[in-house]
Amino acid sequence: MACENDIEFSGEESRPMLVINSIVHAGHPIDVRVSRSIFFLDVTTTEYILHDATVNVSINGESTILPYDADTQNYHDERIAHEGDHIVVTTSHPTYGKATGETTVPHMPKNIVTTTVTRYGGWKDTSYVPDFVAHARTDSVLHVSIRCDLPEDSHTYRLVMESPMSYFTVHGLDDTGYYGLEYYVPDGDDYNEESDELLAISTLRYTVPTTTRTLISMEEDYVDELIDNLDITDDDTPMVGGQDYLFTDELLQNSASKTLDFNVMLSTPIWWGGAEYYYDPSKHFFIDYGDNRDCGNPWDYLSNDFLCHFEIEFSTLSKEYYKYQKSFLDYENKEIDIFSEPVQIYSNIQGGTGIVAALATQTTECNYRYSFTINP
Amino acid sequence: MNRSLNILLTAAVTCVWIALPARGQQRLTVSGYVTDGGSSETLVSATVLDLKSGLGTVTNEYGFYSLSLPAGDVELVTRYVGYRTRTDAFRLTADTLLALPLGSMMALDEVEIVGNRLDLGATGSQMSAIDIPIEQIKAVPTMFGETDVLKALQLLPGVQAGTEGTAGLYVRGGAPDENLLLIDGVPVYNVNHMCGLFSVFNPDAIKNVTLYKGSFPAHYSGRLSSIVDVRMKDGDMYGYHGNFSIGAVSSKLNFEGPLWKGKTSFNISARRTYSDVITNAVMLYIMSTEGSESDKLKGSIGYYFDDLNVKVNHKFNDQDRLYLSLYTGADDIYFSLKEKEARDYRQTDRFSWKWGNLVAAARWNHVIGQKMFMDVSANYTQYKHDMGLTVLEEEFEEKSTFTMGLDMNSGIFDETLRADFHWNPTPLHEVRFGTSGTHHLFKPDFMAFDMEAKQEHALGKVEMLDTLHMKYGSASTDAFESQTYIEDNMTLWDVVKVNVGLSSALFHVDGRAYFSPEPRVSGRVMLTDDWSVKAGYAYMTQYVHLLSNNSLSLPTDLWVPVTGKIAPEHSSQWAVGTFYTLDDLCDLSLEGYYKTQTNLLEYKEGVAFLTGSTDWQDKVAMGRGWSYGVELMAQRSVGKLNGWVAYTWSRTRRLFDRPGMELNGGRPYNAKYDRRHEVDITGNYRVSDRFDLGITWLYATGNCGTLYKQYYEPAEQELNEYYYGLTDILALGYAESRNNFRLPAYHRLDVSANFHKQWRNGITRTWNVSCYNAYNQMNPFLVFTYTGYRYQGDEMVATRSLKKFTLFPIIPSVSFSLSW
Repeated sequence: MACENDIEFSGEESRPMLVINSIVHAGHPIDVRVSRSIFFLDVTTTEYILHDATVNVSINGESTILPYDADTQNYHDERIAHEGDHIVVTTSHPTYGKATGETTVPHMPKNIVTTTVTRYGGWKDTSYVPDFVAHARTDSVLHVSIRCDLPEDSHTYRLVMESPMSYFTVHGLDDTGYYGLEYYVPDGDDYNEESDELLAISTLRYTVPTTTRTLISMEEDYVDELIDNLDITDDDTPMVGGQDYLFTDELLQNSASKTLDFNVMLSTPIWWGGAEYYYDPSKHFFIDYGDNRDCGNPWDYLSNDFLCHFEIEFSTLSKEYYKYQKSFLDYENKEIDIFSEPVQIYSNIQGGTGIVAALATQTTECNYRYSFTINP
Repeated sequence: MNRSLNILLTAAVTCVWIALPARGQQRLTVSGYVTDGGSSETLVSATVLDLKSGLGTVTNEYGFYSLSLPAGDVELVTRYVGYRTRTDAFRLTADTLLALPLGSMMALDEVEIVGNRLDLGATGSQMSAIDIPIEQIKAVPTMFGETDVLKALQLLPGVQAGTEGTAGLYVRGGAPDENLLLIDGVPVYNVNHMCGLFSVFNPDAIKNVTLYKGSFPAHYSGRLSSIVDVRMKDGDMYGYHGNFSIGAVSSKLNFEGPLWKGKTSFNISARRTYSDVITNAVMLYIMSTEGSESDKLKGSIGYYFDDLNVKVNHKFNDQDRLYLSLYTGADDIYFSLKEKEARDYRQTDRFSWKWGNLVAAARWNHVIGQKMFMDVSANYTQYKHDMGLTVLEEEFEEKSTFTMGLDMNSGIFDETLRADFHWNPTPLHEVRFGTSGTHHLFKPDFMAFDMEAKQEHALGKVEMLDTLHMKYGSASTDAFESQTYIEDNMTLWDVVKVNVGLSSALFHVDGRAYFSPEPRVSGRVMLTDDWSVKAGYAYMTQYVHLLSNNSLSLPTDLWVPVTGKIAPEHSSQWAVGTFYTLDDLCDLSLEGYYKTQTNLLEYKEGVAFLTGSTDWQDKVAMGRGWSYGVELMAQRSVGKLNGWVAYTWSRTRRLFDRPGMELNGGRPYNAKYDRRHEVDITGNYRVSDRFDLGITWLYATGNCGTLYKQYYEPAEQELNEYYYGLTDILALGYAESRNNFRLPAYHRLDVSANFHKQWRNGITRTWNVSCYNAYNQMNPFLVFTYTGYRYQGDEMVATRSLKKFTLFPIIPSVSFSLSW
């Protein structure tokens, strides 16, 4: 009964806009990408990078016209961006007009990330966990202590955990057991010989959600509430992977400190999609036991130790970057949920679209030896 | 500002009441019920007028009237459209209880029976309200020939339909959850069947429908945008009647009659669809074609909805009546599959997703003295959905079983005690006051997952191999809501009538209490005998919300209360209009309104019920809205040709600019169902006793939607590939504003014809032939951009196009009914 037809677009055909994209990293040179947007029905148009624009970057009032780098297709500024720098990017193009965007480089998060690892020692309540998984698991708690003492204008953050492991789970802990879901590398269960190496080095970016991501609020009560909400050990904030990054707002202002506890769980063997996998320490990857019988009994690995490696990035973000990323994540959700309203990506470009934003990142590595124990 | 306005209006109400001149002299009261002379069915909104004094009134929703008149000669004229006018002349020397049964003019001429309420027309103080008798609703051509109350209401000015085919009401810029839909005074939370294609109101069970779009009387509260007051039939006190119909989608049966002649009556109506009967027959056929394998596969699959309305009415005496009414209805999607793959293995899967309402009311009407009518009721209403999936695998040789169960449910459960009083102290005052208390229980969402694997060993020892029991969900929330109100429909001077009222609502939840005084005022000035000007103001508060961010009504839509974070919604609506009655042939009305709303809820961008595990409060944004418009209506109420022509010009805007809750970048935008123009023409023509025609044509400006008109690359180019796996398509869409695109205009013609024949045994059969979307207009159900690929030479290149999805092309249908 229903049918589908093409229809003519009867609305006003909007004109292409100048697009400026520049994410400034503290301590690095500045790159500016200039392109144009394309009308949605002109999808086959591939010539959208603009190499004949005039790009002027001002750092604290000192302007320079940037040259175009054909290799990277960016306009490149050799000057290094420093924390606190005010950066204005102005671009003009003979066809697409003039646009401008500005940002301030946030302060570097100095000595604010420390990590310690403690063994947790298995499940407190196995009723949440199927036995065939639980008895092969041992869990560890990764304490990420964050202490910030930054000027008031740097109140947005991002925390990213990276691991070369093909599989790990991050949970909030509570008194009764575990909340959260397991996160897998998208193609981790499509293991095969050819892609073994590729998958083994693939990086899983676990992204931590938060329940409250309001950008600006100076009310003290609200900040307290926010900190409470961000207590990820609370039952109400299960940490489900793969949806949001952690953007904390004013969480750590005025020298407040916060310790976030992550339960890092590794399992072997595991079940997924009806297949059985075991962890191969030499490859840092789970291998389908069914296809690799010659690897031996996976239970032999239960007593193995291996090195677990994490990288933890902690960044302070300019407000523009926070808003941009936040809307970008919503945009992704829209792709998942067909019932949600379309998202407008945040832009701070006057006269066009795109983003000029900045962040300062500190990376901490975490290595520890991990051993399986069998829960009797 | 609203608070100041409320205080001002409250003071004004009090002052007017105190300052009213004591115009009553020696008065006596005539009161009683106006009923159908044949069945004793009470008649709602019948007019009772004393020609000697010029004083009159209308019956309330229970058919009761009370009229204080000067002692002496009285000439009472009682009218109700479709009934013979009754005149009673007598000398009034004492308070009198007078029953007024009316004789029906034409038992079969349903299409000629059209309402004409004294309080809603040119002479009444009420405005922004429309009364539609069920007979006219039945005469409106509909999809699949299924008469639908809400879809008939969608054809009225100021009411929009939302997505085609669905029964949602968007009244004066409001959302569907801002409508209070009442069955016999009890709220119904889910008014849709089949994702909104049909409403839950079975027309065979209904006596009367009244829609209020503004200037709400004080005895209504709880929603921002409209009240739909549906009254069920009481049942014939003296004879048995019924009708049965069979249509393309459902069959209906209605039966009524006395349980105790003259004292107790009943009315029972049932409706059920039978698409599952067809799907099961198909499934049986498919399984039978498996030949010898058929015994290995057994199962059923289907969808249906059903409704059951029951009402029992007992008349103790002229002062006391008892009503018991029940409505229950549900939608059910189910499948069951039993598969036996081998001698030692069997798998059984069962799935059921059921959702629906249960509404029950016990009501006692009592006349206190001659001037006061009391209505006391105990009500219960619930809406819940429950989805269950079970899988059972059995291996007989190993004596092992695996069971898995998933259960998801949510619901809202209300228990209410209510008392209303109608008091006519003088002919100049019709006072109503009352109070109610409601206990709400909200169960927003709950999910349980259970799994067990076990094996039986020798000597009957059972080993539990694996178990998993998980429960997720929000905690249930209890809330208490109370309402107290008083209103007076006052005649100030012969040409001026004012209805002033004050309703106060208290909502207690999570240790917090919200209180909201809600002043209401409306007035009428007669310019001539047939022409009046009216104006009104209403302040409304809503404490419950429906979380739904799509155009369809889904069982997963959640009713949630206000909380510490989510404040009550408020609206203020001003309306002004002029009304003219043209020689009893036609009622003309022109109304303008301006409505503001605060604390409106919308899902945040990119968020919906499928998204994430965060609490619902973190998924929504709060903002405000305003709408204004002009509505023109010409309604012909009598004669062989009747119906209405309506035109609406309106605008609806939204602004969500609170920090952290910005939508559209904190800038104002058009609401999704902002439609500038809408024209509705509905007509019924009774050619003869055996043949009548119905026609509906409507035109509406297209809905709004958000369309990414430009695409551009993200700042971090690797994201383009990471998320989309595409290098030749720019990932980010750009829309200059939310709802920046207007869909093509919507228009449609529906026609129907009824062929009646009365058999000698008194049974009347009717063939209904109808055609929905008669000229097959391909109206868009939704519009979307489609990205695909095509070959350009040897190279595959991306393409993008704009597509529309049409759900309902021309749909002819036939139904057959018998009535006796």
